[in-house]
Parts: sequence; structure tokens; C-alpha cells
Amino acid sequence: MWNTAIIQPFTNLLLWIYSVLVDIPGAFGWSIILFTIAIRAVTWPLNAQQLKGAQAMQSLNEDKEWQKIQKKYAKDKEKLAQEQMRIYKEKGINPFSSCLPTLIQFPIIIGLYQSIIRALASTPLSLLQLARNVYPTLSVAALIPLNSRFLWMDLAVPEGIPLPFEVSFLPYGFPTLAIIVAITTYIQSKLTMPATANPGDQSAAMGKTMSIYMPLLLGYFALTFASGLSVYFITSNLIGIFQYAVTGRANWRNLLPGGDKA
Amino acid sequence: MKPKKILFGLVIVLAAILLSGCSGSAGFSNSWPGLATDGEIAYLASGQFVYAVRLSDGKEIWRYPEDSSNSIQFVAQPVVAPDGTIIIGSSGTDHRLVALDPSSIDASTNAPAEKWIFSDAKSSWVAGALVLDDKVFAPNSDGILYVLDLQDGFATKSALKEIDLGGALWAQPSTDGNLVYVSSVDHHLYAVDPVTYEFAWPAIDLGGAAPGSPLVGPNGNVYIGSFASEVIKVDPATGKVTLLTSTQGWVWGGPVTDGQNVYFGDLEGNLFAVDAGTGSQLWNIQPDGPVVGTPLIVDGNIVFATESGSVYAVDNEGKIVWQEDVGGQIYTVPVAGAERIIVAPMQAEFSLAFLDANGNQVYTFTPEN
Repeated sequence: MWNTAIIQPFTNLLLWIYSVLVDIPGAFGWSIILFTIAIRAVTWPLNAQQLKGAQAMQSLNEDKEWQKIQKKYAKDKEKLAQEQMRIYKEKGINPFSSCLPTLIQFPIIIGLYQSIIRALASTPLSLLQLARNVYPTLSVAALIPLNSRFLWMDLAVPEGIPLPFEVSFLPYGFPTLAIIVAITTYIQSKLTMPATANPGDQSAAMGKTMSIYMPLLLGYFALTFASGLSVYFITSNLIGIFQYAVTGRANWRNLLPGGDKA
Repeated sequence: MKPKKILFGLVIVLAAILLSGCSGSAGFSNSWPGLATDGEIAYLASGQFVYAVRLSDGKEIWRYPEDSSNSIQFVAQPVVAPDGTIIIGSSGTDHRLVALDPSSIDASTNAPAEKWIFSDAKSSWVAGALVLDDKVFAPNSDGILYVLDLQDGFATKSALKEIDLGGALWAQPSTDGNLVYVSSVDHHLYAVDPVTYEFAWPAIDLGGAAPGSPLVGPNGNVYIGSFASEVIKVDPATGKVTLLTSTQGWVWGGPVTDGQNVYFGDLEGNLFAVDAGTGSQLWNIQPDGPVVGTPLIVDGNIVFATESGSVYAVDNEGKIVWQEDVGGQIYTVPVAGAERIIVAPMQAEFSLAFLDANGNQVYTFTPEN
């Protein structure tokens, strides 16, 4: 099911893009970039909904009526929850609208990683699996194995620039891409975080935590997994930053120290 | 730190573990085992060890290395040199090619002594090496055919010659004694002079990846299949290519010959018999799954295994003599010796199955921890 619904279509889409770009140096890297743009375009309504939901939750936290209710029922959790649901209903807020899109995108990340590994087929077993999963309409026998070189990287293995000395926890060298992944993830999460004046604002606190953990998590992925995934992360982050910027939703002040205070 | 933040951190770590767990491996450890025999002992290269298993009773004699290491993994076919030395390469991050001396077993560790090690390869060893006279021709995934001198006496070897062929070399080279034939996943077949290291003729473009070994067949011609869904015949004197036959699916394993015909399988689940001279298809049968490994000739029958976990013996007229459902998925080339046929399935309850001449499974081997 997972293979048929996610990995196989992703892999064949990647192969199709690669077959179009095959004469361009670094064709597979460009294929991942184009694939990412396509994925971001398809999931943009989800991202927009996520941002809208986060902004609605944040504006609720600044709502005078809600702040009064919070004080009034501070010791009665059950009543507070009832009031919270009432206000959500009145204001048309879906409390899951900000986290659901993120959850939906997570399988896409997993599926993409598996597709990249499968398409690159760097082992006999993965090449065999690739042979099994190519759609009959796609004539790729002459293209396989794909050329995994892109710029200075081999997209099938974690990226690293060789160091003149050995570092045991950096077997692939200096992890340039992992650092870029962490930085762009941090910037994107900061830009999407609304400023808040309320120190007890839970959504803002969660956003802050996310802006610390997510760069570390994705940086760790970039450090340990095939660099093709890092290309996806960086492209996705840059597109995200661009999308928020052109729609006027980016909060650039957050990048400055103390900029997340309203 | 607040409990909520700790909980959130734990969720993130869990997500990382899930992604790591379901994403598959980027390394070479995730592949099928290698298998060889010297007629009395089967050598199984699987996971973190090479096991020597007696054919007569399926019992383990020794294993290498003494202790498991995450950096050492084995998927390549072990090679038994004429002097009994076992040559095997690691597919892990430790890219060692090691020669083991099975006549020198450490009594306390039950591991054979290392005769020599070659550690200069840049990538993993997926294919077995070829021993020709005093030289080892070792193909690596870095695209280089490393030539080592067996007689230099060094415990740490350096390459006598590095022949850069390009593409990943996943198939054991073949030889007719005059030339060494190497197929590459980069779609090419190369013929290298084992003395001068010059190419005998320009590389032949096969039109698709060729992960199987070339066959030196009847009349000295070289036969090889590829993902171009065809098997070609090459005249070793001139490098002239003739299409032997087309297949329905991609050809993974190398062909095998009984001296008159060549036999090979494809990924669409066919086994073909083709006249080695004329290329006319004599017959083809459809077993219960794709045929990945090279078939084997045993007592005049063609023995082969399928991805569906079955082993077949077929006579030279295409009639099924016996079929045994071993289980798992069989990609590894079967071997035979001591009146046994040995197969190494993946994802089965055991690592080796020993069949008798009638295809009956007589015992299995599962490594003990």
C-alpha cells in the first residue's frame, strides 16, 4: 500500500524528470529540485492553511475575552476547556488546522527519501527493487543506473567536504549541507512565527520550541542520510521562505534578537 | 526544562527513529548474501560475518571476523583461491579486501588467520574477485578493477595496478586465460589484458546495466545479458558483437553453458535455453518468479532459483526434473558440492538450505549468536 501509493509514484516521477533532464550535468540533483517545487506547489494549500491556523490561534491568545476567561477559570480545567471549545466554535477556529498539515507532510518526506534511495539504486537489492517499480510506460533501461553526481556531491551518500584530518563523528567530512539545512530551517520557522506580546502564549512557546528542534532534527537527517534528501530540504525551505515573503506573511523581525516580541 | 518541551523533544526523536527505521539503508549491507564452495565447505558471506559451513552436515566450522563490527559487512561472493585461501571484500564502511587462511584457525576465537589485507579501495566490495595465475583481479563499486600480486608476500597489500573502468563493478570478472572480461553497471563490457593491462578492444556498450558476470562459452565466445533485455555474443579476438537473443525482461544474472547451449533467466520470470552458435531459442519455461542469479549445471541439469524462493532442476530439453520450495527470496547464485545443492535465501528462517540430488531439503544452516 505504502509502496504503491507513495514510493512508486514518487520514484517514477523522479525518473521521468530525470529522463527529460538526462543530458544536463547533475540531472538527478535538478530532478530533485524540480520534484520539490512540484511537491511544494501541490501542498501549498496545506501550508497556507497551517499559517492561517497558527495566526488564528495567536490572535485568540491576544483576545481580551479569552484572557479574561483564562484568569476566571484558572483553577477549573474542565470549565476552561468547555469555554475554549465554545470560543473556537464562535470564531471558527480549528485547533488542529495548524498541526495537521505538518503531519500530512511527514509521510511525504519519508516517501521522498525512500524514492531517492530507490531511484539512485546504489546497492544490488535497491537496483532490483527499482526494476520492480518502474512503470511499463517509462522506458528507463538505458538510464539506469542514474548518475548520482550533483555539483560536488554524491547524492546517494551523506554530503561532506573532506577534512585534512580525521574526525570520528564526521566520517564524510565537513557537513556543509547539514549546516545549510539547519540554517534555512531555522530561518523559515522564525519567519512564520507571529510576534506576541503575551508571555503565557502557548502557541508562541510551541513555535519557539519548534524553531529550535526542527533545525536540529533536519540537520541530523542531512548529516546521516543521503545528500539527495538535503537537496530536498534546502529547496523546500528556500521555496517556503520565498512563498511567505511574496505573500507578505514573513515576519523578518523574528530574525533579529528579541524580534519575536510584539 | 518544562515537561511539555521534554515531551516535544521526545516526539521529535521518535520521529527521527521512525524515519531512520523505515527509510531503508543507503549502505551496501542491505543486499543478498554471497556464497561459494570448495566442494567440501560452503562459504557464506552474510551480514557481519563470513561463515564456513561443512557440506556433509551443515555445521559451522569457523566464522570471520572474531567479533562483529558495524563497519564490516559482507555481501560479495567469497572466492576460493587454488591454494585454499578465501578472498572476500567488505561492503561496509571498512572497505577491506581480506585473504583468510582456513588452515590456520585460532582455537580460542575459532576465526581463521588473515593472510593479507588490501584497504585502498574507495567503495564497497559487491562482487567476488578473479584469481588468475599469481594475480587477483578485484572489481570494486568505485569503478576500479584492482590488480593485486599474490606472491609479493606483503600482509598489507598495495595495488599492482588500478584499472579505472567507471561505473559500479558488481560482477565477478571472467577469463579465458588470455583476457579478463569485466562487466559494469555503467552498461559496458571491458576486455583487459592480464599482463599489459591494456584494453583488447574498445568497451562495448550493452545498452543497459550488466550486473551479471560474462560467460566464456563454447568456441571461446563471450556471452553477457543486460537491462537492454538481450544477450549478446562477443568474439574475443575482434570484439565483434552479435545479438544472441532478445528476452522479455531485464537480464540480471550471467548465462551458464553446458558446452553447447547457454541458459539464463530474466526478471519477467523466464528461463531461456539458446543455441550458443545460432542464437535460436530452444525453449523457455516460466518458473514461479523472476530469475536473478546465474543458473548452475549439475549432473546435466540446469539448476536455478527464483525470487519466490523455489529451486528448480530442468533437463536440457526444458522438462522440470524437480522443484523444491525453500522459502524466502533467492537471489544468490546456488552452488553445488558433495552431492548437495546449496542455496542462500533472504528473509527465510535459515541462511542456507542443503538439497540432495533429488531436490529434497536435507538440512539447513542458521548462524548461532
